[in-house]
Amino acid sequence: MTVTPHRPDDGVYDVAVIGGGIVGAAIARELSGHDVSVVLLEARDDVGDGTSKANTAILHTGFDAKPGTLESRLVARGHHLLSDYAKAVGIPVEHTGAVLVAWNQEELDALPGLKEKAEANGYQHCRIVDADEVYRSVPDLGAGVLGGLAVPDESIICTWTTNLALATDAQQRGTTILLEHAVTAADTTGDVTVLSTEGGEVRARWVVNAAGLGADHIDRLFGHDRFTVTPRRGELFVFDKLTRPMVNKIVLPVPSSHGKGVLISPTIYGNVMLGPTAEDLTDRTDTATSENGYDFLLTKGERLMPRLLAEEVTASYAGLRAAIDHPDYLIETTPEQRYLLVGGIRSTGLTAGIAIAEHARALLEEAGLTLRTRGDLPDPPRMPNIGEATTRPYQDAERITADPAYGTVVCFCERVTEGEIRDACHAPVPARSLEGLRRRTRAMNGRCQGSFCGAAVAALRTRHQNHDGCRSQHKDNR
Amino acid sequence: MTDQLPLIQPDVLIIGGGPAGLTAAAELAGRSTGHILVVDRENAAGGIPRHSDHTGYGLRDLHRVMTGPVYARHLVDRATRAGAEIRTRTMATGWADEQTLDVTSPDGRYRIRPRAIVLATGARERPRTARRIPGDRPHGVYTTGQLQNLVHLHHQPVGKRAVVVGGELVSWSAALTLREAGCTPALMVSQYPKAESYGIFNAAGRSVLRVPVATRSRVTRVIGKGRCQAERSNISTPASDAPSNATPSSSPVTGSPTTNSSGPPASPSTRAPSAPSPTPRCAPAAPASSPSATCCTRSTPPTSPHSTDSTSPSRSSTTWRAGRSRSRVCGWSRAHRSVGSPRRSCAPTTRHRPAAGSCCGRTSSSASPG
Repeated sequence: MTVTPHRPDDGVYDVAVIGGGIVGAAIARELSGHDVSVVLLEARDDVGDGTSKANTAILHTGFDAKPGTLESRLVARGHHLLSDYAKAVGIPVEHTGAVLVAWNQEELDALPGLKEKAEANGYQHCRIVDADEVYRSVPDLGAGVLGGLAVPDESIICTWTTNLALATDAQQRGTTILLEHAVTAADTTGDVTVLSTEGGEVRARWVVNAAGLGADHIDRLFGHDRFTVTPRRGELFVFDKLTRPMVNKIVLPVPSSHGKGVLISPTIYGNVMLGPTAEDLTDRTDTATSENGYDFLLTKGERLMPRLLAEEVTASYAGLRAAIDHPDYLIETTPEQRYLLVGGIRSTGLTAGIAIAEHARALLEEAGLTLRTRGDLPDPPRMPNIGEATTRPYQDAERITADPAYGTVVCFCERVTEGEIRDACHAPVPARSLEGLRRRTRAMNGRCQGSFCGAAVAALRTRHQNHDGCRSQHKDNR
Repeated sequence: MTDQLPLIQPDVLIIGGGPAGLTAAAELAGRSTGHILVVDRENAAGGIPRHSDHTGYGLRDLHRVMTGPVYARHLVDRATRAGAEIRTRTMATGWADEQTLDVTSPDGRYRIRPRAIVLATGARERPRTARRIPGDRPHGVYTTGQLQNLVHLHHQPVGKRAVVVGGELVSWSAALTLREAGCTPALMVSQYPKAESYGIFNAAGRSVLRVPVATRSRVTRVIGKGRCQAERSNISTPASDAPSNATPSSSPVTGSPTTNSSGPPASPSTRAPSAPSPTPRCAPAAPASSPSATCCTRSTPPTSPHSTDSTSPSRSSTTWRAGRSRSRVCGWSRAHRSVGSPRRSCAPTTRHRPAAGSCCGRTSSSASPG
């Protein structure tokens, strides 16, 4: 266990942050950079297992936000903060750039307006390009492109590593992470708020609600009725790695009267992603994919890039966006309750997370939380690289020589080694399930989807869970 | 840095130590004094037969039958006796140049520049996602290779009831493995009017393994959080007007599959839960006597039984099991074949590049053996 320099006083934390997604982890990290005790409460058995894990994983410039909104400001700032943070901790990023593609006159006519909007958002590098240039940058696009808008600084990033880095950093700064602590009630009558959770009572002077899909429920526990989260399902296809050379840029749709549309994006793991759909649901747990969603994506994909659809789908998944009935991020304090709501954070929250955390810290201070900067902060963690663009352990001769476990490939499709699986099981924020292992190593995420290596990976996980610190070779890892 | 990787230069490099690669190695080593090197990424050479612990191997090339593991050992011994070198836990990860491969193994990262390369990387299973079957993503949806790997190599339990999706030869192999693991293959489903396997296997399977076969069926949705509970199926039998697309409100077929080729009843009398329970335990979807699962899918065309290079699409099917406490789906695609003489693709150059994926190749037929 990490040493906790800021232990709760009499079992009372200074701040409880509800939600271990990108936003909650970023806020916990930010606050624990100060002289307060922080607890991060996560309902599930891992951080980043809700909406954050199914993000489209784009590091946004914020060019298309609504100018003047909080979202616009925080995404623009977050782009710089996260870019720097990614370098410092080793979050995989690829600066691919993006192109918005106009397929009809309405979309073409919208491009100048989008460029102006980008400039109003403080982003000056958008450029309107003709159809030829669009095809030069993405030759496999389907017929019928009329023009486009180049956005050179949109990038792709690993959303899983981002979340894990923030949570690990928070923990190393002293945040206590409590998993499987879904909050079920809040008592704000005393000086200290008492949160009832599935893992027992947690007491804290201040509470930050970063519960994502559950943020409106938590808000109601505090007696508010400000907003409703409508889970908006987005289904995505991940295509085989053979498609990656076809898509060297993020291909964005032009937001139009028909809605936001479907994008094609390279992934940081060397695949190509098509999606998402947008479907409002009522069930906040329904991350199933659907036949309608598949049909929609296939129809769209056929038009956007027919060659893509000739290749195999490696994975399909659905994420739920926390759409709310409010056009901007909803970040408000209730000083008398010592309570901060951080709601309505849509997919841009990946980019904006660290900026949201800064903003949240400022609001909390304004509301009366005393925060003194610490001088003894630990270095940020160095995260294992699971991105395709830089050297991975199986390619690293020196590393294999030093530790042969990095030369033992267990997941063949994604080239994940035994050493990486071992490391993920013993990480500061360790993998506690096969799903957690997938997000930390990419194991079982490839073509075979674990049908080949699944049993071996499961055996390794069990072994490393049972025997802490073991470093020996596994005899039978197949 | 990478320029200084150690380099070895055998005469022939055979990538893949399955039946094809080992047979090629034995023949080549028997005919020449050159250095014949086989690399295999698994712990032991022998390929898929290692996972397939039932008889039926060796008929065509060895003219006698034996179990998969015995067959695998036989081929390894024969190649080794002939003088070939076999390196296991050694994975070719990419091309350094036209004739040189990058290799990763626990012994280090190095390069191999042979005079000729044989790609004997086999087929690969196409999992559920590649066949675009929507729904939840519970545990318990297996390909046949995974099932056999779990049962034969890892001795793991696979649950109590299963539905096998697909009616091919390998589907019966899956059913055998399920029986062996104490799991009841409750139903086999095929989208065709008849199961695709040879008639004799179908008849034997139905009578010996007692697996009912539902035809003209396909899986349209998987239901279950944590574990597989049920799938929605879409049955279109000539006798009924079942819709060609199951809607979310349609009932899964849960009738007792007592029949054989006529398919399960199109109008079920019991309903599986229409919404998956968030709890990881399977809710009893239907009376214990009737499995709450069904259906099938099958998409790729049959592979040629003789093609051993990586380009052949493999057939696959998925087995489904939806029981009361644990439910699983198994599928399968690797063509289990007792392949005798492999078609060698001694390609000194690299017409078939594994690209960024793996040396396992792809499932389209665009690349041809040299």
